[in-house]
Amino acid sequence: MRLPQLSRGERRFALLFLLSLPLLQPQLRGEGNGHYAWVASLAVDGDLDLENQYRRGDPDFVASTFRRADGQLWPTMQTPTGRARNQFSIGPALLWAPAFLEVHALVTLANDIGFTVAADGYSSPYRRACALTTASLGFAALLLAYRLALPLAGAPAAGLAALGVGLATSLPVYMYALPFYAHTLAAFAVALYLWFWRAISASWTPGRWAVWGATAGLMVQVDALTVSFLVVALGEWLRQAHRARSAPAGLGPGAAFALTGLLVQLPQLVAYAIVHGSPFNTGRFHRFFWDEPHLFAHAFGGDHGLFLWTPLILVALAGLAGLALRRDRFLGGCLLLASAAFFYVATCSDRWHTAPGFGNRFLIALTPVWVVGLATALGAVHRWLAPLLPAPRARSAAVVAGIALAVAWNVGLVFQWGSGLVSRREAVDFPRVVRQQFTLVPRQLGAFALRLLGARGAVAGAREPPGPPETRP
Amino acid sequence: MRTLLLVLPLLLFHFYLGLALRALAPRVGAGPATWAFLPGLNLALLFRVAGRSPAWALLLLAPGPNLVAWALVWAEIAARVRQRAWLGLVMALPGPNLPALGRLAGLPRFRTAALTVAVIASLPGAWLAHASALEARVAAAARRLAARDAEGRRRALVELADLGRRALPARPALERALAEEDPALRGQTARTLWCVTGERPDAGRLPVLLEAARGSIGWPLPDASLVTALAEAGRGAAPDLESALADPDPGVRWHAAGAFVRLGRGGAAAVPALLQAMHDPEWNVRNSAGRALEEAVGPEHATRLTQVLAEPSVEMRYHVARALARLGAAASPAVPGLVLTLEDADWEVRMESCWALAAIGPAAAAARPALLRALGDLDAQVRASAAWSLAHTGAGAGVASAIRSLLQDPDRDVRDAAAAVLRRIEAKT
Repeated sequence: MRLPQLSRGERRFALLFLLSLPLLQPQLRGEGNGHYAWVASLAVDGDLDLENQYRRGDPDFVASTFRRADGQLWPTMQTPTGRARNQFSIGPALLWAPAFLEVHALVTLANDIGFTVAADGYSSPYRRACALTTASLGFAALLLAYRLALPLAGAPAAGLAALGVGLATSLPVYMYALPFYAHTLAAFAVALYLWFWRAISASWTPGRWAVWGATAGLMVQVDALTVSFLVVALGEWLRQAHRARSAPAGLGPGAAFALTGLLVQLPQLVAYAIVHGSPFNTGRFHRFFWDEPHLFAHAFGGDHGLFLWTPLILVALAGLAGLALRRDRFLGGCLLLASAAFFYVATCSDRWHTAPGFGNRFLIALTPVWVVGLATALGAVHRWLAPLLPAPRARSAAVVAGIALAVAWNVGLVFQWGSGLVSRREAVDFPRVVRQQFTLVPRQLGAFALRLLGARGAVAGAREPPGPPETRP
Repeated sequence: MRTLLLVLPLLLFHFYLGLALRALAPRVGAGPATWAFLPGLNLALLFRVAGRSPAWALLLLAPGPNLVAWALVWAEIAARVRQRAWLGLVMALPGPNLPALGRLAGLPRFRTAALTVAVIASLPGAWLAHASALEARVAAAARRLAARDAEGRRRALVELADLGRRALPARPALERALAEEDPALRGQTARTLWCVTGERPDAGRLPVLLEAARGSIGWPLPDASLVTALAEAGRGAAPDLESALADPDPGVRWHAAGAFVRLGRGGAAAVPALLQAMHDPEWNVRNSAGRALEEAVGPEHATRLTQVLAEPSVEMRYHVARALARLGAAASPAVPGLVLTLEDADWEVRMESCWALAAIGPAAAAARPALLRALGDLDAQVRASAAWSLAHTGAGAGVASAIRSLLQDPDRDVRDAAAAVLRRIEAKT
């Protein structure tokens, strides 16, 4: 256990991250209000009565949570225990908790000494600290993903892949502009889970299985859809049982994994029991229709279709397929299977369109998988270009140019989304979006960048839908 | 003195950390040891002791990541001084980290114990100082209630209301402030008193509380605490609250109507006034009055509601349909009117009419032909509601074929509703 030894490239990457921090916008938006209310209520009030926290949320969230007739919670927002419903996971709150508690201690002390800073959990120091935690963990997710890809593709390809995924997918929007959504933290939790798996793959002990189970528990607690990644643990367990030619020998490690995974779930279960009346009542409004997946629309539809918004992921998928077929069948197969299961579950949600928000936000959790796939693909492309471009530098330049193109595409989309050129809620007319990428975006991007640095909140435009419907008679 | 007590644990820990670093630095050949007691530089020395660049100390400035960095750097130091790495991780745990620090630094046991006890012993003092700071804050706010500056008085009221029960010592000052000349501030005082004491305001407090709502019509939401206080005070003074529905200030009318939502059936006598308030020029007032109407109505209002169901106002028809649904079978005189509103231009009125007929139940059997037509409505929610309504009105196998056609509906909710209704009909037959 030690601080990581950063290579030269990683230090540059860290410097780039530090320089990007002024872009951080610590405003609560949409789902972030729900995730954040857990930590604010626990740390400040200690009561899990979230109503007063909800009243401090962003205006759109407040308007959709309380009715204008009497300022009280909508009936559907009330739980059988008389508290305010919270359908959002507690995992992000746990990851923010250390930063939140530190700031709370400092703010309380400052108030006692005579300064005036609201110690309510919603003033700027709290939000900044938690947003910084999200951004840091987003960076950590990329760093862990880079290390995951390193032995497969080498430092240049892995580094370029991490940078490409960090800049050319929806991740940066949720790292910097919407840091209170769970997606960046889910990417970190998945990266930690996968990195730990590979880091200790040479020497498995029941203790290490237990620690791995804890990372799995954290992952599922941050984003329930990541439960699909448990197929990786199942695959690893089966592989070891096969090697040992004895299933009973694997019972101990499997039990250790499951036990710690469940133990880490306890905060969520206890919170559900207190707030919703049962540890198994998630309080979710949204439903899953398992027989009605929106597979094509989720991938290519105007409603935040994954490959339309983030074409780079097609390359990453090709890389993953190549990894599974040629390099490391087990690793590639596990990652493909887990990603496919994740994708399927996401398409069965009645919120499959991921609106409102930027891009296909559900799949940000797969960031480490994209980095591994992209790194493998970039390595292969570098080799394939050899007959055309014999000089290695020219090949590298071509690959870098491809990534730069993907980044430019993403920056254009961020601009269109942030400035309202595309709908944040409805399906978009993608041919028009493409036209605008080449016509409006180049003309207006400069002014937008200035606004982004100057006026905070400019791009954080995601809005929650109107208030939940009232209970039917 | 209070400040000293508050920061004493920090000062003692700083001193303890300094001693530890001064002991560690020469052991691992790091320096200069004089940095051990200098704030900021001591953290740079900490990383030097771990054999790392002092630049890592910047990480300690970031709340959250600093906790991880703190634990890991101590784990590295532990390895360098041939101690167990987990001892380093203990450094991230407040409490156990105190003896661990002395052990890692190799300080004499007596000194480690004395410093640990000193830090722990300083905590109750800090806690008392914290409690005293809160008392002082409440007392200062209470004093500001008597200040000449109106804005200062308003801010003091807001601060006390935010403190809630913790501001209870300010109660006498708040009660004195009820004699405030400015009506708006007087109202705010009454509201703050409610937030601080939680005691039900008596009927006499109602006019004062209503003053706090003056000028509030532009707010995104009504003041929920004030609405609750008004409802509590209005329990014994419903006629006064009712007359507030005609106040010249729309904010007062809005909050009064909101209080009737909270009163529920307790506001039954105000139904005519609420119906009148639904013609208010302000949407907020109409909306609150409509919701209040839904809560207040009883069987005695069925005839009156049936009459207003034909009014030109869409909002009126919407809320009245919802109110009728609360009456159940007692709303049966409204069935002809509801049949008409099933063809309303507004889809929400059509949907609510379906639910009202569903609530009436078999007594609404005459509406079945109209409900069958509503199965073909353009709006999916109306189609689903009509299917449910047919089931509730006791429709039998005769309508099964019409409902079965909804199994091919493009909308998921409609298909689900049709399937459930068919199961229900089949179970009955």
